[in-house]
Amino acid sequence: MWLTSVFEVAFAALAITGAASAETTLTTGVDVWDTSSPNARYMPNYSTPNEYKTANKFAKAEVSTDVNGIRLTGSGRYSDNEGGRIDRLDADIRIDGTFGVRLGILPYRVSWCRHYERDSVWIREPDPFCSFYGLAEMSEGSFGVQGYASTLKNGFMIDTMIGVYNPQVDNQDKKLGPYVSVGPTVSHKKAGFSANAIHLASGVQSRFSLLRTEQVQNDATGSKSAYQRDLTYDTIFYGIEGNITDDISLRYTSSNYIGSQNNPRNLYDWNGKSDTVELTYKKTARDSFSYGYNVYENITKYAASTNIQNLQVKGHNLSWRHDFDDGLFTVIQYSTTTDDYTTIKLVNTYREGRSIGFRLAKTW
Amino acid sequence: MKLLAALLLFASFNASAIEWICNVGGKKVSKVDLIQAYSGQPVLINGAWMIVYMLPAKNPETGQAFGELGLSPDAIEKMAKNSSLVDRSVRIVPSPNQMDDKIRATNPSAGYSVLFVGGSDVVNKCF
Repeated sequence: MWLTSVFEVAFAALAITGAASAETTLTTGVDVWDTSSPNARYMPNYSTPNEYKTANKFAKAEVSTDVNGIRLTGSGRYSDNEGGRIDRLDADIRIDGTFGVRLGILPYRVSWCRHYERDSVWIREPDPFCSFYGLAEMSEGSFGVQGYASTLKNGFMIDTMIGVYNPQVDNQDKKLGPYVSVGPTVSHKKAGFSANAIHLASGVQSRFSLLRTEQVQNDATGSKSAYQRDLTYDTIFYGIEGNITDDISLRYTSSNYIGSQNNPRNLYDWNGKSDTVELTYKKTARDSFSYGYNVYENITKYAASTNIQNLQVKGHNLSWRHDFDDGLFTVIQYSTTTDDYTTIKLVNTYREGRSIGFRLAKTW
Repeated sequence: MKLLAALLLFASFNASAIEWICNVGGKKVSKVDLIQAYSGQPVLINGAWMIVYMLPAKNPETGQAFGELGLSPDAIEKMAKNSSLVDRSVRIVPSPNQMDDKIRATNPSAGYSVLFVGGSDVVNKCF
């Protein structure tokens, strides 16, 4: 945390003395949800870090400035239900027009998640790997260094990026893909690669990302089978999006957490895959209508047991976004979900839920 | 707002006649620089990266304006998103008013719609 403080002080000083003007963006708003089920995955009220509030106030801010050609950026967000976090606090050094290096607290930039983004057509995205706090590690970030390059070839703008991270520096080491923390972190390292291509004439875009995590924690839950948890997992994302007519765009994304618990005392593998298809009809510059369908499946195989646990969650989502003047916008969203998982116990594990939500927000 | 709309309307009739040249601290910025900036490539002016603003791609004026530059607004919009691997100097603003406000507050910066926001006063306002 000390490093975060150093960065914050440095940013404040630069903001005061910076030669170039600072650029700021702020989005504030409130989401109000009516949800039928208290337990269905991954409805807005499902397992929120803070005590769940039906009316969820949120804010997302970013400030950046140039000092001698180095771009300094700080951004963060807060919501009543999820709390606050620093998304960025970094220096971006562009070596020339084609490549550069970023250092600081950095988003992993694995996915196309739009959580609380000002241009999102959703209140909550159909992909739970973006919208559900417990699975959204791939849309977050931590302290590290990234190198990036950009090139224009055959009408495509091709961006590539590599990054290495130490989440213990900024206290993000408790995030473990689909798993919750069990105790103090011994080590936590990440390294990844991303490539993104945009066809400049049509706007069709595709991405592939891979982020590998190696993490060791001591189990401090007090369970009788206490052990040192040793995880290795890959976060894999690929997606493609573009317009199929002037007014209709289509987007497919696949988000994956695939990994293993390596400790011989408790071996298991898991494969979590979240596939999402979205269709958006932009009727006018002010009105967008979207449909999103998601299937999330997680299969866990235990070496010491014949039991294979299969979790499957399916969701349908409809939204209407309307933009008013001067950055004011509303979103109405209706979502349904069903979830079920296999178990050796003779209990009914099927659940379903429905939610309707309203967002009122403004970008300043 | 009405004044701005009138200026936009007035200038839209003259958009094709406007030469995109501004002078900032002796640095000559041309239409080529503008195309470069909206293509996601950095334009450095006096040690700072020029920020360029655009209205959403779906806005009818946006399509017309960027068609004149030979660029796809959809592609520019995607490059401007926070999830982009490379931070571009392109920003999406929801309205001409906000574009005007941002240009006034950010230096160096430019906005491009059917015409340069501010109409005939473009040379003084675009940076």
